[in-house]
Amino acid sequence: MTSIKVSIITILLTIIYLLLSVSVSNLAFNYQSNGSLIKENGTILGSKLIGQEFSNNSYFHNRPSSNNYQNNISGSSNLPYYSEELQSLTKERYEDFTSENRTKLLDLNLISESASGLDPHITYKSALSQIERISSTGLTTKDEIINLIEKTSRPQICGLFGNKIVNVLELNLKLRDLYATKSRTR
Amino acid sequence: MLEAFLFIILLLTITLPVSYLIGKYISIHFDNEKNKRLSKIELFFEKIEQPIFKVCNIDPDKQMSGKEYFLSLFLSNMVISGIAFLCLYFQNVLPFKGNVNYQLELPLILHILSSLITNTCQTHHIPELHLTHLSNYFIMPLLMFYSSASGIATGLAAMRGAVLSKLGNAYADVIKSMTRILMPFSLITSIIFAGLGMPNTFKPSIEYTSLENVKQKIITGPIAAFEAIKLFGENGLSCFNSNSAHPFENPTYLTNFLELVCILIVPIALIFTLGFWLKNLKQSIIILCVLISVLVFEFTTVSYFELKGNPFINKITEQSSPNWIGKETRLGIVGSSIFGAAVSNVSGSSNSSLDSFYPLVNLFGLFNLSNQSIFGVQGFGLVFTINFILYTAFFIGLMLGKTPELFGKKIEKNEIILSSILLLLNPALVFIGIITTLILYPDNSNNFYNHVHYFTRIFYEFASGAASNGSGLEGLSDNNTYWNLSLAIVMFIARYGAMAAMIFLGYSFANKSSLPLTVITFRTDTILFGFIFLFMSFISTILIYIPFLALGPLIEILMYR
Repeated sequence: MTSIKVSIITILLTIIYLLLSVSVSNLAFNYQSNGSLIKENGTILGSKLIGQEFSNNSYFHNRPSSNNYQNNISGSSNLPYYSEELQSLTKERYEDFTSENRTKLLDLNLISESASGLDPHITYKSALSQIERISSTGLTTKDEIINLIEKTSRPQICGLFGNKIVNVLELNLKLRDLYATKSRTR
Repeated sequence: MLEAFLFIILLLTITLPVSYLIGKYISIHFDNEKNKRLSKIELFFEKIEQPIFKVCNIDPDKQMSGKEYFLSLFLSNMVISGIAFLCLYFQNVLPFKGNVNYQLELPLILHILSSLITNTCQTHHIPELHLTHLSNYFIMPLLMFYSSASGIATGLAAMRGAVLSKLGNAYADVIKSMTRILMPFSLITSIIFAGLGMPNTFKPSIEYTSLENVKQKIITGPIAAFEAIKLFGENGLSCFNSNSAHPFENPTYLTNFLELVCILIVPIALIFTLGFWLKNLKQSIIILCVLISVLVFEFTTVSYFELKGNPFINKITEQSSPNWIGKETRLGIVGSSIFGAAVSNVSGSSNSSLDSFYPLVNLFGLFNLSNQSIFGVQGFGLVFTINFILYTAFFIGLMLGKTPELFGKKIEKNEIILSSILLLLNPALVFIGIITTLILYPDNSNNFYNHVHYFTRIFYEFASGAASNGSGLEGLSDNNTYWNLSLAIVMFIARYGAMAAMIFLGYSFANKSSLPLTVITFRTDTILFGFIFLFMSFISTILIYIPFLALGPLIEILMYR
């Protein structure tokens, strides 16, 4: 009998915990609690934290994902360290990269799969390796792209921890605005 | 490497003082001392708990026997899993379904329940596809709270028996661990996490159209609340398939760091509590030094090899890059490596693809899972540590030709039997599991490396089930009837077998009178003891497991030297 009562008490405590936690964080941190959404005139363009797929050559590309950046699922293909599949897959991706970008790859980050398949960031070097391709579309110049990357990238924490990283969605939104202003002035 | 060293130093300088304070807090709140002066915090919590105890007819001062204590814990665990079973089976009928409409099969439900209630939290299901909003964000935290509280209660009861000569009341311990440890700390952490970017809402999903005109659906929920109990309770279950790698569960480098702090705090605090109850803080410091040095060794070695990168991949791509495969950009190589090394020690939540790490991680992981005392599961890890202290004391006693003692109490036949059960239950289950699987489902590929890695995966799966850890090398496609049922059974026996042995061990110590400390007593709080403890703990694990470690990860490492 006691164990049934204890279970019911636990259920009540969990409900109280969830309600308290959600309501307090919604009051204090409304933006983050609702998924850090990027909005433009009321329409949602995506979340700052969830990666999207970009295949257009005039935009920055994300890292490869095992589920093509489908936002309602996550995971990676979990290939073992020494496996042949991993080596052949990496080789394929590397060749794709060189044929697409016609430049040297600066960071392995760009052609290796992330753990979640939804990684919203690439490293600063990965962004730099894509400049050649984007400028070759003729929509903008290299200097302007470098300027955008510098503006969007986030430096290492205290200059020591983590990597210099760039949020691809934010960068591409800036790039889109740049294209828009250019076509208007033209 | 500088980043790794600084990361570890920072981690320890934050974790240790906080753990010390929480250890003191636990030692005061759970010592069951009658007629003491209560502090303001204690009075506050008593006010909350009094009505609960009254409704449930619990007398917190009534001491239970070993049998009563175990049966109460076991029974209440079963009752709460029964409730959860109904909710999971009828999840399609219940409200708050969110985006999912999926009828769970019976073996999968048994596996989910067995893994949740035993604090293992191994995931064979895909939360985004298989669980409704209600199951995922309410039933799972409920079970996580209860299993974690049961773990803390078991650990505290065994320790109380060995040190304070009383066992306590199971129901009171469980409720107090929820109201005094898990709920308040999780609440504070969840709000900090929400501030750092984790969503915390009841909205099930957000739909939008991406810049390339693809219709996308982002899944949200009370993720920060979920994450806090997942980490504080050492559960490691995730509300997403990719666990702590999902950007919503681990949005920045800082949250990654804080998550590591959260999973280390309570296990370290419990070892401080041991020192406070013994009135001998030196004992906990010696033990902690040993455990933390093992931890730091693993952290630095794993970071070193991940930063060095995969030679095969680097050769193909003409790079000298660290191993980025299966790691998130924002968490970096060091953040992922250290978390990856800590997975098998403490909670079982991972922020990177463990399968794609240098096989050394698997070697360390399997060692930790077999040893179980390097912090280990909530509460249980503490008892495994005490068990190794007992084992070492017994060994030294035999060498010196004296009656062996633990904390001033004689170690006799009964204690040695229970301690051996604790030591041997895990390997027995793991080996039976591995052998059965290899006979029923041998690997069919022609590649030698695949064979070896398949063995490692099976070994890891069973070891993490038997150690109630729950991490896994996810390359095994394990959501089928065989894997679900076999692991459900392994987890169940491993958890409740160990729980019974721990509680009876504590009870048998509780009934002994303390011997006075004399000159000839071999003290367990000296540096010499620390070394022997490390040696015994290492040797007893290696002796049992070396053939199996050699067949799996060791070959993988040596194969490509």
